[in-house]
Amino acid sequence: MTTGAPTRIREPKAVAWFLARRAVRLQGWRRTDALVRALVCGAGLMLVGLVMHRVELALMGLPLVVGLLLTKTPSGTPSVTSARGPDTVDAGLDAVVGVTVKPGEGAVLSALRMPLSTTPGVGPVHLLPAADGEVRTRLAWNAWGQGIYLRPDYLFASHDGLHVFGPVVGVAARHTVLPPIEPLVPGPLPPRAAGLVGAHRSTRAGDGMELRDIRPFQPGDRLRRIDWRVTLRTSAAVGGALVPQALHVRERHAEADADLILALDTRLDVAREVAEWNAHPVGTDVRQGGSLDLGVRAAASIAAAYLRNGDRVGLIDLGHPRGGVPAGAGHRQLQRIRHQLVHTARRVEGSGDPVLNHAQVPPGATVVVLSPFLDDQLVDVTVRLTRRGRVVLAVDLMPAELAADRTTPWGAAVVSIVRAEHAMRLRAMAGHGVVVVPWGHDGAGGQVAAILRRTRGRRR
Amino acid sequence: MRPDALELGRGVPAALLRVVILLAGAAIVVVPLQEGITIGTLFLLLPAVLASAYAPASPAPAAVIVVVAVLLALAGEDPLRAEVLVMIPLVHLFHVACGLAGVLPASGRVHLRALRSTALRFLLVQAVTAAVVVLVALLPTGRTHPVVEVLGLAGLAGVVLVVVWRQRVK
Repeated sequence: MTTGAPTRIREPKAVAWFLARRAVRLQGWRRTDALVRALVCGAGLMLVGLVMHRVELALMGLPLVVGLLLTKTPSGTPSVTSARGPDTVDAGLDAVVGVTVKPGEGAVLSALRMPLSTTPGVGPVHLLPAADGEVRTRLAWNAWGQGIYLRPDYLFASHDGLHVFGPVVGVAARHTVLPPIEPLVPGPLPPRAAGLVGAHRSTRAGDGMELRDIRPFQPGDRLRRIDWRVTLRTSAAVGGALVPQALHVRERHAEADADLILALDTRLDVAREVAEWNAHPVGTDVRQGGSLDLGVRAAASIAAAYLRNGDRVGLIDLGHPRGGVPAGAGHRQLQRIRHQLVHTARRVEGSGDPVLNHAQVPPGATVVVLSPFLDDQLVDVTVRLTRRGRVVLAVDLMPAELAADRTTPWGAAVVSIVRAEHAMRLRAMAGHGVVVVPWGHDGAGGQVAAILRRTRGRRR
Repeated sequence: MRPDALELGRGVPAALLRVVILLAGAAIVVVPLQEGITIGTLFLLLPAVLASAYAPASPAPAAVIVVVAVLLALAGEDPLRAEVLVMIPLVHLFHVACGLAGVLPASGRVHLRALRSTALRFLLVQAVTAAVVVLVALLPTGRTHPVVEVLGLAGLAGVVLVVVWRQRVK
């Protein structure tokens, strides 16, 4: 039995030299097929032409050789750097994005991947002159969501592409484009029972400004609330004596805040083309103009309008029970809801049971359910919530027109059945007291606000 | 933001470079056909041109250059006939277009100011070549002295060595 150090396999020197040369060729500046072509074809044609006494061969190879003689081998290490941009931007805005290019010595052309305002994503590769400086482009954030907006992949080349440096994958810059907010006029909401502070007139008596009633004085009433004009008139009617029975006080309405809960159906994302309902959209998380896109835009707009009014707004993700946002107020709450909308919209997982139970909704809150209503389970939970005394508004996100799948003869029949079932669900909800309103591409914010105003009157 | 920054426009589709390759290739194919060389042109040259447009950074453009040179050399005796004089810039244009298309994806965008230095350089090379063609036309034809031939070969070898020395990657 022998012991000792493990044996090390030594590569032959020729193999090591070959591997080292190959490794060197894969980094830094390196020759291209164009240079080999110019050298072999140019010099080869000239050589053959001289040997064979064929001048035309030499003349055809001459430009390639002259081009090589005029080309200087580039050197240095080119680089492309980009400044860090904001992590969050608002949809609809635009910005200038730039990268700083240092091409090194001898580089003539740069192939740089830069985004265009007309196309989403990191954009195509642009062939530009390799100049030391900044390259910038103007971008418009039209589509909301998370994504990479800049990844400056680059490649530098010398004259005629004889040498190249790269391609090098650039550092990706990510950001979140928050959903846009359409201007809505918020209406008054049914005030919630708890708490007596806010912008909405409560049905209960309190310390607000609006007159509710004038009634006889009772023990516990504050003296500053006594209406002396009514009191003196009453005492005059009973003989002029200011007896305790003649005292009257002015009673005012309390001012209470209101809770609005937005329940967004993130299980489905359907658009006009029925054939694409099961396909994942390419290059993005959400179909532009689809039901989820409309729902997110609607939720953001409604939330912004009512939060601006001083109300408390919360979000429920029907597909993911832990993905909601508890009701809250203020600008920070709006940002929280918009971020959560972007986050939840990335997880469209197809049909599943919607989660919308009584415990998720604060007492007295108004619930707005945003969904294309393509399954009966959501109708069940919506109706159940209504029967428990909640004010529920259903916003229908189903596309107004559906295009049948042309690859199957059953396409038109499928559309008819889907339409009929959808209409039946809406009728069932309306029959149980749920107000249903469609949210089209032109928006229906005013309609929603008006309906919420009516529901307040109904609840009183 | 620097005031001298390069504002990125839309540019033109990079497929335009492939179109240039195809157009130059079509002209390269047409010239031998005019001289009556059919089989070699259609079975060797045409596939190589199409392959060059599809994959510019491949050996296909080299095949085009070699095949067209051989076909023209076999087709006639006069080294300065019109077909040869037309083919010299065409082959050079084909080579340059393939070199540029090889560094850019077909889905990219080309900004024309990037091609300015390439165009100037193309004209410069063609001017040098035209001067050599004029010189060749002025030289007397006939049997070349062996010493001159040896000197020519030695000069070419020197040029190749200079090129290899200059093009080594540092």
